[in-house]
Amino acid sequence: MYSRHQLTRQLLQLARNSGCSQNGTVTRLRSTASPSASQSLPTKSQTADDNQVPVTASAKKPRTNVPFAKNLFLGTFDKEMLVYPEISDKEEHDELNAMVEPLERFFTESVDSRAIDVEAKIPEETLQGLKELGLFGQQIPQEYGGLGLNATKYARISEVTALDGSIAVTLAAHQAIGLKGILLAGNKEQKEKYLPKLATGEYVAAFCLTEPSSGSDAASIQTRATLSEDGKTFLLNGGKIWISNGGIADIFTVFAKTQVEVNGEKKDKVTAFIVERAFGGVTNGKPEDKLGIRGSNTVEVHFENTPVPMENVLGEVGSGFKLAMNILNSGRFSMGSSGAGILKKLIGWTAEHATTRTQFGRHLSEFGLIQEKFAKMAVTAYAMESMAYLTAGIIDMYEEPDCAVEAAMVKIFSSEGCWTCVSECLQVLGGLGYMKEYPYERYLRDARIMLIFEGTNEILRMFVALQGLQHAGKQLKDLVKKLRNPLNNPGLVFSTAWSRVKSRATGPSLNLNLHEDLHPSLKNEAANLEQGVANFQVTVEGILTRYGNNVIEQQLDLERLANIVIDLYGMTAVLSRASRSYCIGLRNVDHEVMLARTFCQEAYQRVENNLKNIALGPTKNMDDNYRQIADTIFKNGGFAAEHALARNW
Amino acid sequence: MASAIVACRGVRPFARPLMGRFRQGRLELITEKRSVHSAVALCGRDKKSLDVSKQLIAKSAGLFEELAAKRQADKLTFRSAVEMYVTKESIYRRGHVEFIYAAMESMEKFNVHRDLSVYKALIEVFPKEKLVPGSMWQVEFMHFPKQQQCAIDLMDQMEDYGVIPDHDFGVRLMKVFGTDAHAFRKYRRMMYWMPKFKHANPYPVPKELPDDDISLAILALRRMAVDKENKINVWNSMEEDPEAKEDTFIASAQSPIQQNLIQKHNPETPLFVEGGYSCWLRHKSTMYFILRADPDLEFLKNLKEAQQAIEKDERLFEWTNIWEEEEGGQLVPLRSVHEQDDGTVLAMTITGTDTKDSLVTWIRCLQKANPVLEQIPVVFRIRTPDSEVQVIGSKTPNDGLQVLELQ
Repeated sequence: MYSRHQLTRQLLQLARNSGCSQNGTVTRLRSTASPSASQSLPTKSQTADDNQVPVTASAKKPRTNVPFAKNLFLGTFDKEMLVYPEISDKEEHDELNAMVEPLERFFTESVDSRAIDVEAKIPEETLQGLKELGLFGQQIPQEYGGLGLNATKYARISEVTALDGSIAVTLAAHQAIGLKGILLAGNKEQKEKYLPKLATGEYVAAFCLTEPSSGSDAASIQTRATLSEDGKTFLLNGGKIWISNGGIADIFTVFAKTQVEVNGEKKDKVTAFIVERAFGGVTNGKPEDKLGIRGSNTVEVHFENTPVPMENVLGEVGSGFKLAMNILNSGRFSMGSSGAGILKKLIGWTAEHATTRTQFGRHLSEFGLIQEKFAKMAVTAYAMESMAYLTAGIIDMYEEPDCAVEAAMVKIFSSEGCWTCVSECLQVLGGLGYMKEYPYERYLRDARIMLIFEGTNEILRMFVALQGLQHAGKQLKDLVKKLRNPLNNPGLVFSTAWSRVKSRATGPSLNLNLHEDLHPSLKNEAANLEQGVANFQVTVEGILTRYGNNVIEQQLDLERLANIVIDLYGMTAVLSRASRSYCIGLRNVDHEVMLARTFCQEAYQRVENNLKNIALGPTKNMDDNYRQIADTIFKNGGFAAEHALARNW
Repeated sequence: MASAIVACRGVRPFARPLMGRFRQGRLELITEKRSVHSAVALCGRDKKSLDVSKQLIAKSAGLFEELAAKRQADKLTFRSAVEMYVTKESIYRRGHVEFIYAAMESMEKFNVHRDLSVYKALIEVFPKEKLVPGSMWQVEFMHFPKQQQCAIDLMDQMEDYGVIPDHDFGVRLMKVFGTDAHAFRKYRRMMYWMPKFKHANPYPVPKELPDDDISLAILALRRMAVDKENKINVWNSMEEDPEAKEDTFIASAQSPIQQNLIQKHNPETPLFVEGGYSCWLRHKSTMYFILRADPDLEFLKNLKEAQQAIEKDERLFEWTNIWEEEEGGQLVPLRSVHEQDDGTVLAMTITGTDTKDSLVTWIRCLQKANPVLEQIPVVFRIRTPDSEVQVIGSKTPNDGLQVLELQ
């Protein structure tokens, strides 16, 4: 075992020295270089051929990846994910760090987050400073005057910019969604016209999708764009709400319904437009008074007969819906690193408090309950960070990465982790944390939005589960169809039932050998992950068979599936990261391994629990109870139980 | 007393000897109404004592009538009548059973029939400690049957009016009959069952119905409307419609979903105003009418096919999802509660006069919120009490409303 460890390390060293990449791509060191690992790669046949291009020759990125999370639903595990991505070019790595340093200085010295929160406005000079740092064009290619950062670097910068929620949201609204449409679907002219000015921050962008009647349901928007008689301009009419940067933006990505002819039938379909404020007819309301991210500018935006020239249509007419989804899907991964950035800072401050504050003659840090809080926060932050950079790594490796599901999982995990951990930090401070004098309450308020925007966590859980189930369902279709019709397929049903009975006694057969690709000290956790993946696959098959097409209505089970797959992804991320750290001997690596182990054990418990509840079915796992309770509440228009002190006579 | 309630779970319920509801002709029926015990007891008595009993009841009833004539027939007068009796018969309480029967009879007239405190005052009329059974035999053989039966009848009346006794009532009863007597067992059973049934109705109707027709109509509509978003409007026909032929109110219930359904309705096909159907709220009935469309057969067919497709596992896992397709999401087209197999209910109304004229005004009122309605022909298919109604029974409840039933 030890020899393998050495081998891995040598290989890693070797690859690090010889591996070079161009255009700032992040490469993952391929474990397949290890002979022992390549023999045990059951997924190899399923990996896309262009994946096999060796690292050293990666001038052109492979087109797309085999989706990892979706394949978990089939019980397929892509072992390449156990090789944690890194910035293989030393210079690039140093460059990034050099970029981060002045940024951190700017945020600690020149940004007064408290004032931004109280006055609900980011001062002009702060915005100017951000623009000068180039933060308004982080992902805009260098040829258009931006920084041309890839996802990994963007995530790294987000860690710093997240230190002020309002600034983070302003920046994200500008480039993660506001101008992303131009990057993703804009033609050359559009890019040349708008991107340079957006990169410098001369123009600020906003993303206009949400309407009073359509929040999560993007297809139901009412804003209309009607083509003029000469066919050269669209007239835009309608109102959008809660538009971040809406009051300060000059360029809007607006989604509106247009009439499109599909197969001779006239239909209303969503189209995306680049709208300049200068086109006229664009008005906005007063900034909304919000719970958190108070400094970000959130307003209603109205369009009244705004003329939009034909050349400002983003992509095709009628293709706006997919573009909107693409934009939203591509922006989510960075929330993981943002959350981790906040948490790491807060853990530091809180730890300082815990080691200095004395109660009952002892430091807070000596109390078990306080220690537990810190440990859990660190585990969460570690997992969050690992997942975020693993995802960013995939995004950077491929031309058209298929990792919307992974990005959604990162968003769900990190937003919830951030919310609970910030709350725990505040708890450690006790009464002090509740005071406005300390930043904790502000971070708590700011963190709350993460669970809501860019797709609520509920919607995203359905997204994760249904994308995975559909992926699995398409492959298992014939099997499931036969299993659901036992009378016509007795043999198959019997053999399946028999294998289930067998696997119930011994557990599903484990043949992934994940530990071979990880450091031996993580063997047990690798076994947990493997077990989890195997059990998950059995459950997915069971759920598909039990519900068939109706599976989309089983929201509580879908939520469980989503939670399981999030945990499995988290385990994968922390294991591969900790293994890499251990192999290359980073500072405090024992601590990392401990964090990874703890996360894996906790996650495995959660996975087991979720699997158990799915197997129990709605009457025993309380789903039926929840439904009935909710029905009564809605029928009664509120809490239906009588008052605790009520008397009946 | 709490322990008494718990203890009564163990008590074997025994059937009330003679089941009976008393409303009218109370005086004449009293003898038949008694339990077997008192009937047996009465058999042994001479006719004279029966006459005395009748006289006493008549006398006591006279007291109530006299006071009601002199003062108002209200709670205060009733209480003072009871006090007068107790003061007069402070020692011997002669004829207290007859007095209580007479009092029970006049309670509704004094409007105290739902008032627990008055029933407590009546329990106080019984002599204290005299009627408590002393042995097991006395307990089982209905010690003081006439008095016990009187108390049981009193509690029966409470039960009929939904008056739940309380612990204080039990304490008073215990002082009269002790904890083992049949009368007290009756109390325990009441305490066990009545609170349990008090909130059994998931759609409760107020005990006292409002007197005015508009409130009653709103109450009825609210009870019938299943859609939580339902909005109830009350219009005055003259104010809303210059062509209205009569001055009446129109209470109308419609939800946004129903408005939407009207919006989507094909103007070629007519809508129907149908009714009147009767709706009962306790002892009062009202007529209501609905605006209805014929079922959307195409939609129902699609719905059925979609459901069958799911059952047959056609196109398994080929659903479009809401993140990839603009028109994705539903496997089966969504159906509102208003779209039933036999038709789509679009609005509901209760008018003051139940006439066709008032319903025409109703449709005109609806046109304001549903402009499309102006283009859709509306056919009136109405059966009102004065047209094709057949009276099939003339039970006359308390308020004298006739029970009508449509053919």
